[in-house]
Amino acid sequence: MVDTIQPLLEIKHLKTQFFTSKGIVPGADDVSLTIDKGKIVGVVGESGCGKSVTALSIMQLISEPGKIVGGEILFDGRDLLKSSKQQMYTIRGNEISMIFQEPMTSLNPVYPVGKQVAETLLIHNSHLSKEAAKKAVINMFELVGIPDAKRRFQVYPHQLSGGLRQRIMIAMALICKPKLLIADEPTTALDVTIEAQILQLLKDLQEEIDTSIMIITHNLGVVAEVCDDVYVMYAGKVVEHSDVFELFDHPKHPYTKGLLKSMPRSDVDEQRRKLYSIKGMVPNMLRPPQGCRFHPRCSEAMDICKKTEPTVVTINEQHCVSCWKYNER
Amino acid sequence: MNDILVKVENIKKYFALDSGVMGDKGEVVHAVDDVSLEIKENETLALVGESGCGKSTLGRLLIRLLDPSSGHIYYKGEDISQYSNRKMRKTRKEMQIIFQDPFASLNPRMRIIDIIAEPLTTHIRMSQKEKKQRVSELMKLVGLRSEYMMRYPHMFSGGQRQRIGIARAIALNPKFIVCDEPVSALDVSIQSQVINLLQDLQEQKDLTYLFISHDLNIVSHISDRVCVMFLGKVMEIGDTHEVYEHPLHPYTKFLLAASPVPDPHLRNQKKLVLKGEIPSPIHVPSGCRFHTRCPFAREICKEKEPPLVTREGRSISCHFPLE
Amino acid sequence: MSANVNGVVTEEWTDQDYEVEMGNGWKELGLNFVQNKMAVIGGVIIILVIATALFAPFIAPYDPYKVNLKLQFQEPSAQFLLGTDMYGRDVLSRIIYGSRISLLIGLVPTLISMVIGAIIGMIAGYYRGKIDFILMSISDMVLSFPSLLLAMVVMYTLGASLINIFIALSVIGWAQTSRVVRAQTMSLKNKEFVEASRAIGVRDIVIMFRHILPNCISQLIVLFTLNIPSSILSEASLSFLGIGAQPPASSWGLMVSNGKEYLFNAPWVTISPGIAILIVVLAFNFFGDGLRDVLDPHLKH
Repeated sequence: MVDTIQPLLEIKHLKTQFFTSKGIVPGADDVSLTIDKGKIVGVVGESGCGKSVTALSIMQLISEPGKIVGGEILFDGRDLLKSSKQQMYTIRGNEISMIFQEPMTSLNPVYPVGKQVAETLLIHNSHLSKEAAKKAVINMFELVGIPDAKRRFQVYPHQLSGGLRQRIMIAMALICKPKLLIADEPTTALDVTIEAQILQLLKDLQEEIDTSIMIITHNLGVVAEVCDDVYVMYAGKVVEHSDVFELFDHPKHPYTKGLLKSMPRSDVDEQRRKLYSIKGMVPNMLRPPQGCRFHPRCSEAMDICKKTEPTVVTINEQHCVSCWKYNER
Repeated sequence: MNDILVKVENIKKYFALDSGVMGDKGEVVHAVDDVSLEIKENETLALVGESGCGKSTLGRLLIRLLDPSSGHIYYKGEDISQYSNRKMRKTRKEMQIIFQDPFASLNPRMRIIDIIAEPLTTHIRMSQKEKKQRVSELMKLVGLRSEYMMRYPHMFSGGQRQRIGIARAIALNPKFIVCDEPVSALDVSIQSQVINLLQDLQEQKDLTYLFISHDLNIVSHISDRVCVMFLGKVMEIGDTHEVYEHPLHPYTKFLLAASPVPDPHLRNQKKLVLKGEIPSPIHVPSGCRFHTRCPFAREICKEKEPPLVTREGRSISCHFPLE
Repeated sequence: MSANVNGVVTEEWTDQDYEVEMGNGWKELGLNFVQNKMAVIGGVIIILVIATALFAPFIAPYDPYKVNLKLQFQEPSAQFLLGTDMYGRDVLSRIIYGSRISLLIGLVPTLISMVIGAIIGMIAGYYRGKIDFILMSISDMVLSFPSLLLAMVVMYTLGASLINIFIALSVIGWAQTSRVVRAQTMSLKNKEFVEASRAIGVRDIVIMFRHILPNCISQLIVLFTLNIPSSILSEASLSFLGIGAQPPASSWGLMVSNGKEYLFNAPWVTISPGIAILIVVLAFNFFGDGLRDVLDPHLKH
């Protein structure tokens, strides 16, 4: 953890809004986030907190009525928001790639999976021969742990199980050796034993081919399992950012604390005890609460929380939080 | 010890795939394959397992939403597996179900008052005023504001809709409720609210739950006993605490190990990762169904199916249980 | 920690959370619909035609049945806006009165066939098995028969009259509806809210009418508006072939049929009712398409 590590991706004050018929919804509101080379970074939050919007903004795959209205996304020194469409085509799938929650809908059902993966490779490397591409794909299949890789090249998506499809998706995402892999809820649709396999695979691959990984998830267990750094998002904002150990040992933001406390755990004997729960519900983003967006649900809310948005407070080098509690005033 | 409320004996449910009208024999899914278990009064029995293990099907069989292919279901000692629809109607008052998807489980064209009152109006003759009164009480009981009873489901959030579903389920004061993944579609911060509600109601109304879930952390919190299923078969049943501490079946051990723990300090303990995929419930492996994935499998496991053996309240189906 | 009243956790929320959500529903559907220009034009035309049919005696400039052989085949002029036919009857007045029959035939048989089709479709989709097989085989037979031919058979057997047209068109119309409703029923039957009702012990027939039918309504409305024009066309065809409306009743199909012999001498006698049919059919089609665009995506949520 030397300070000289240059960040691979740096998002500064990203603002992505959705202009719906009922009003403007702030999908991501002033989101700043850094991913260092060779790190696994987790972004956690509940539905509608803006974690997927942030990821799609990086890929510039925000569709109507959404629009990126401000901020910078620096990737390897370049501002992606200033890149042309053409440049984005060469970056997407090549330098940054993405895997999604549902591996079934992400694959085209009428082509063999091997062909689809090879196609991704050929788009970005037009000099490659078809034979060479096939070989590279089979190698990649073996790397991501697909048994019987040669035969699986010819197989159609529906002939594979969910776990294998997700492996195919990972192979497709990694075939061009991207610098950054964005995984949007990669294990949510999978069974526990398969989830464990895929998480293990992501960890191994990260070491093997030195890709940075951004994992988007609602599951704190997944975060604890694989991530180095964690960003906690709530209602479009980053509320806390920390090293994973620090976050789980010394959470600062009341929301993070609440989430951790409300998780039932099997390793602690607390059966029949009441679970802690955060009161209320996720706010309607058409009309986010004034001040701190978490204040209506916060058990420690003060007067200032209702009026003014908190600023980012640095606890230590690895730990920042947006909460008035930690502001010396 | 408490009395046994629900008892299942050798129940089976096979689904025929694509059996056309022309009578061509399609393939058969062995959703639930010879399961026997007991649920005691006022306890929570959790049913865990991965997709395709038949846990949802079993839950629906118990309350006769599906008809079993064979086997017996006893409710309060009476065999209800062959009850006619009419005879079943009376029993239905005592058994209910809470669903996973709070968006599919409420009729989008009905008002909340009519949704919650449906069980009441079906079984009891009551005036409009009584109906309002009862629904209002039920809504308060599950933590909803009764002013909103005239609204339609789409105006509520997932957590609130789940509460509406719970209100409907408890309307007739049932004894037994099947909870089919009741929180897995909800946000993390809402999950604990609903779990607490379910526990509160259990205490107040002496309910018995069959709690179907794939989340082992939640199961450990809410259940008294746990039943682990794999491909339509029971692998292990026992006191939740004991099973979590000392799993006897290799599958239980791997399942517990695979479940992500929200503590980064535990991650570097070399994790047990189960190899391979879940076999298809159509072509079930011979012998012990788990042998294709089991690292301890021997010759006999491929040939002979292990029976479910019960000893000191712990049932297990394995030739070579762990020590 | 959480609000804990008498041991039950209450969920707190404010009224604010609702107001925005309330926008959903009919108001929004209406707005979306208005944005579709063709559908609005279709709707306006439909309203005009309905008004015309209702107030025909007040709008029509002449008596549509009054024969005046002195005024045979008058060209369209200021006096007779659309000219006169072979008996000297005002074509415009006859078209105005004809809208009554056309609309009636558009609406009544469609309604009847929808009711029959919906019930048959629900029964087939809900119970499946043998009943499904029998009902759908019959519906397949009806669908595979040329519909006009089938209607003609009915009309020849029963004789030409308005009631019999209703029967004939209903006999050919239910099959399509039953197919749509059956498919919808099959998907709704597996929805958890239907399972919930079954778990409560609600009777099948109640489930069908309380839970399944209301959730088919938007498709039925669309199907209804799209089926009206085909009924109007069928009536026109039957009348043209001489087994539909009987003279001297003024039906548009009959008018086209009567005028065809004079097509080259007095084209207005044939063309005017033809255009009337065209406009009404198009109007219903546009209106139905617009409705489908608005209602169907809403259903997918």
